[in-house]
Formats: sequence, C-alpha cells, structure tokens
Amino acid sequence: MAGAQDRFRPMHEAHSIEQVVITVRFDRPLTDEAIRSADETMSSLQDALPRRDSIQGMAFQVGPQGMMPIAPPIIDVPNGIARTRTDNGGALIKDLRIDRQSINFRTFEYTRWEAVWTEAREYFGSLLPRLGETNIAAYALSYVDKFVWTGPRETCRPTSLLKSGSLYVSPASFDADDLWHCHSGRFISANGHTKRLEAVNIDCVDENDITGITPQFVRVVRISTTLTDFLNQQGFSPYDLPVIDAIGYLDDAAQDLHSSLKSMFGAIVNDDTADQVGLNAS
Amino acid sequence: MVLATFQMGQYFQSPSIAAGTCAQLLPISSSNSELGKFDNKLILFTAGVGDEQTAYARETNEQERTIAILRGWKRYPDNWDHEMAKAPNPTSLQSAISFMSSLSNEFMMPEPMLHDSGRAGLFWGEDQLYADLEFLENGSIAYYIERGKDRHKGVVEFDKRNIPPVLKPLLTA
Amino acid sequence: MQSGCSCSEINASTQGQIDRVGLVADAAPDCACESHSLSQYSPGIVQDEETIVRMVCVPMHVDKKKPKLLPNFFSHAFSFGMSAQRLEKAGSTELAKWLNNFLANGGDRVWLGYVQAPCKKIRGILLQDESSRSFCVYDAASDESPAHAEVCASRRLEEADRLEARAHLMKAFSEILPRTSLMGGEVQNIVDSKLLARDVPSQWGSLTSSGVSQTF
Repeated sequence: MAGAQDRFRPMHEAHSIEQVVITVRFDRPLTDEAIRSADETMSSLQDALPRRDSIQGMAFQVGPQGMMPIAPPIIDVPNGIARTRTDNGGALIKDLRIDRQSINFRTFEYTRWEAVWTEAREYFGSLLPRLGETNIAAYALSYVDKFVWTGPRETCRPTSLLKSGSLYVSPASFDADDLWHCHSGRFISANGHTKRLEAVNIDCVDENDITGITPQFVRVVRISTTLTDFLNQQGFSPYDLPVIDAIGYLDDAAQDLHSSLKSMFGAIVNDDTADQVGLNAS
Repeated sequence: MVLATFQMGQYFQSPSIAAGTCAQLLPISSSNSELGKFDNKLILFTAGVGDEQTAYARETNEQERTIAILRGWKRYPDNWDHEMAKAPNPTSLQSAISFMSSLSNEFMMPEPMLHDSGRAGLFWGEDQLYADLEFLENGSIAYYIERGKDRHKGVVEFDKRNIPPVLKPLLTA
Repeated sequence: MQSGCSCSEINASTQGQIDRVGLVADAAPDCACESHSLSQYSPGIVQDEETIVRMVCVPMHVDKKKPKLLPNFFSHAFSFGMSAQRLEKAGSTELAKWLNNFLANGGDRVWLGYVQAPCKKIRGILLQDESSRSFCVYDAASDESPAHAEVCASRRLEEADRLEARAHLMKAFSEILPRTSLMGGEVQNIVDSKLLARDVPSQWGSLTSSGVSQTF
C-alpha cells in the first residue's frame, strides 16, 4: 500500500516538462543549396548551440518484398545539420536540426512558453527565408512530461496522477497495478485550411535512474502530447505557405498549438497534479 | 515521401537519449491516405551520425526547486508557524513564482521565504549583495537592496513577465 | 500616551493582533512604553546595557543551504512583536523552559542556535536620512518567562522602509552562536533531550555540536 508520502513527483519539481519539440515540415525536399545555406546560417549560432554534427540519410523503398535499402548517392552535402548544447554533465539541453524534410528545435530547459518560442522563433526566423522555394506542409508542437513515483514500484497507481474519466486515457489504465501504456490519436479540423492530428501517448515504465549513487529502477509515467497541423489536405481549403515569409503565420500557429496542448494536458492529469505544476496559474 | 517514427523500447527505457537519434514525432496513421500508404513509396529515415553521446537527463536546477517550494506553500493554513501567521496570500505567492520564472541564467538565485503576514519574499545574502524582496498583495514588489556600498529601496510594479528594470542590474551576477 | 491607557492596558488589549506593533506605536509613540514594566513579574525595564537574545528554531527562518538567517526571522518586529530574552535577567532554567515550550509547539522546530545583540545597538538603529529610532525594546515579562522582552518597530513604516529596518536588525544580530555556548552550555543540558535530538539540517551541524559560530 502506498505510504502517505508516496506520490508522483514532477520531473523537475516545479514542473514536469522533460522536453518541448517544435517542428516545421516542408512540402518538398530541400535542395543541396538550401542545406548549404542553412549550415552557414547555423554557424552563427555557435554561442548558443556550440556543437555541430552532420546528419546522413538512409533511404528505403517499401514494397511487396518489404523494406529495401537504396544505396545513397555520393555527394558532399549532408542530408542535414544538427547543432546542440549540452550541460557540464553531458546532458542534452537543446538541439536544432535541419534535414531535407524539416526543421526541429528541441529543448530540455523550460521556464515558460514565451521563452521557448522566442528562442525557436529566432532560429526558424533566420533559417526559413534561406531555404529557397519550398512551402510549409505541416508544423507540430510536442511536450513530453514526466512524473516519477516516489514510493515502491508496486504501490504506484495511475489514479494518483490521472484525471478520472479523462477523454485521453483508456478506462482500463486506471485499474492498472503494473506497467501500462495508452496511446491514442485522432484527426480534427483546426480551421478551414488546417487538418490537425492530436496524439497522446502515456507510458508507465520502469526507468533506470542513474543519477543516484546506486543505479536503480524507478517507476515513471511519461505523457507525450503532440499536435500537428497539416496544410493542403483533401477536404480542406488550399493554403500555400512559402517558407520565406512564414514566420508571422507560425507566431500565431505556435501560440494556438501551445494553448491547445495546455488544455489537453489539463484534461489528462488530475487537479492536484495540475496545481503542483502550476498549470492553471495566471 | 513518408517519414517513419522510431520508437524506443517501451517498457525499460533508460533516460539517456542518444543525441544522434532524430526521432520524428509524426505517428503513421493508416486512416489517412496521404500518410498511411507504404506501397512503393520512398521512405526517408534520418539518423544522426557523429560521435554518439550518452546524454543523461539534466538535473533539476535551483530555480525549479525554488519555484516548487513556493508552490508547495500554497497549501499552508492560517497559523502555519504556530505563532498566528496568516495563511500565504495567493497573489503574493504567485507573484513570487512568476518572478522566479522570469529569472534567466544571468541572475543569482535567491532563497524563498514566507512572512507571518502571509506574504512571500525572496532573499539574496551574498558577499556583495543583500537583497530583500517582498511581494505585496496588489502585485507590486517592495525591495531593499545593498550592492557593494550602494543602497536602493522602493516599491515597483511587476507585470509578472519581466524583471522590473530597476531591479535587473542590482540582481545580476 | 495618546490613549490615556497604561502600557499594561495597551499591551493586554493588543495581544494576538497581527497589527499589534502598529497599535502600540499609535497609542504610545516614541517608545513611551519602554520606561514601563508590563507585569508584576517584571525584573524591571530593559536597560541599554542588557543583551537581547533570540533563539533560532524555525526552519522557515533559515537558509536551506547555508547556516544563515533569512530576514523573515525578524518579521514579527513589525506585526505581533518579536519575542526575545534578556540574557542578564534570565537564568538557564527559564531559557530552557522557554525553549521546551517553543519547540514542543511545532513539530518541525529544531534548536539550531541563537543570536544576540546589545539592546543599545537595537535602540540605536536609524533609517537612512532619519533621526528617529526604528525600534523599541520592551519589557514583556510573564509569569512563565520573567526575562521575556519584545523588539517592536517604533512606528508604522512604509513598505520599503520596513525592509531597510529589517536589514539593520540582520546586521545587529549578525553572528549565529552555537547552542553549546549559551550560558556555558547550561541551557542545552536542561532542555528536554527528545526535543534537543530532533534532526538538524546538515548545514547547521557545526553549530549544534562542536560550538563553532557562524557570521553572516
């Protein structure tokens, strides 16, 4: 039986956010010239994101024989560039990646949304106009929240964390007394020209905690919530969003995704948990 | 082209995240023809190459711990100090939390405190800095700061987003 | 005194009110009640030459990482009146009794050490550019604690002035002394051993065992 002190502790005490990912996807692959231009632009981010890596690609063809690799052409332009920042202990703090299909910004540091978007906007704002003639096909925002059970693993119960009757949680999960997961998703209409994918993945797993003197397994619940907006989908009005002046559109779009994800998260965790992480604080 | 998701082992996960892995967050849905068709489609799976990093989950920082302490005080009742203290004032506490959230890396981190009036406060007591901030019920901040030989005091408005300009140079490291 | 009441009456009528310091200052400005004893148990009014002691026992009043005080240790000086003891008037038995009562009244309280300041120094605190005193030190004797005193703000202060006055108190009581040094260790020997044995945060270990003092 859980002790009085046993509870789900938000990963970073004041909040539970492990990482935030912002993605912008293109409607056609970027050219070599675009990748070179992006690399040059990203080199000015040396102070914020000191480490640079090339991203190499592997192509597969899927057909009746299954998945078959395709030999890559010999070229001197990588398929993408990644710039990262780690802390003194080697933990990844931020990374910014561009490949033929997308730009991703991921951060493991979170104080408030405005700070995250201000930084992401700086990167996207400087990169997007340099990518040539391509349009935005989709954009996404994702949060991964993590809660750590402080008591013995066998006393961990989902009801200590999850909102009873939540739309996003399978009823069977509430009775779980061992590991469980619940993954769900649906398409909805965000507006006349935007099709939205709502994806919620909740996993109760045993994680190897190596931060203490003796590594041990702790039971955690990870809640991944993602909203992806797609443009130019069947049944929706066409909407061309060239990368060159997309940042203004993305300002509003990102804010909308953030607000919606906040509501979704609030519909997943119980009121005590929401209070603990300051979800409803003004 | 369709981008495939790459999902790590589900039930036993190390918090270490290989920095070279590029995991797209778009799940494949067979209900959507544009996204779910695989036959003869070219799939591009991207992965980082370069020295593999074993990245451990970052440590919770002092700023986050302090915010958690402040938030925990919301539940204190009247007489929380057994000497007739008033219950923490929600506006004052939230202001202190917002102030903490607004501190960037350039600031030294304070100690949180609660007064018998129910007001929250933040304190810096370092060699060259003495700073006592008290968060008032109307959302403003009373302060007394000694920085080196200089002294500053007053009451300043706080918009809950930005460190008041008068305080910024006094509290940075 | 403005109200025509005696200091004893003022003291009695304002007990337990969070605005007590302000009410007393309104009724008896300029620290008028310093020259009056408040009860039959009083050993006399507090003299400038006396040493005022205050025990450090409340976790909320101390830094979480270092063995240092936080300014809220002095908050009561502006509200209810800040409880203190008169070192020269109190015996070890009285101090130990006071500590036993205080520690028993809060499960999270631990006797971490004490601070002291000359009464003259407290009464001499002035805010910048002011000539009138910031604090009064009253005799606040009771039957249980005849050597009990109170440090109170001399008047209602503006918000920022109050914080400045608090900073002066921090400086006046600047050295945290180990509990083993209070009256040569006599008090510690008398305090209830169960209360004394409560867990001490690690950063306070030196003050509760070996007797090393700590300065701000």
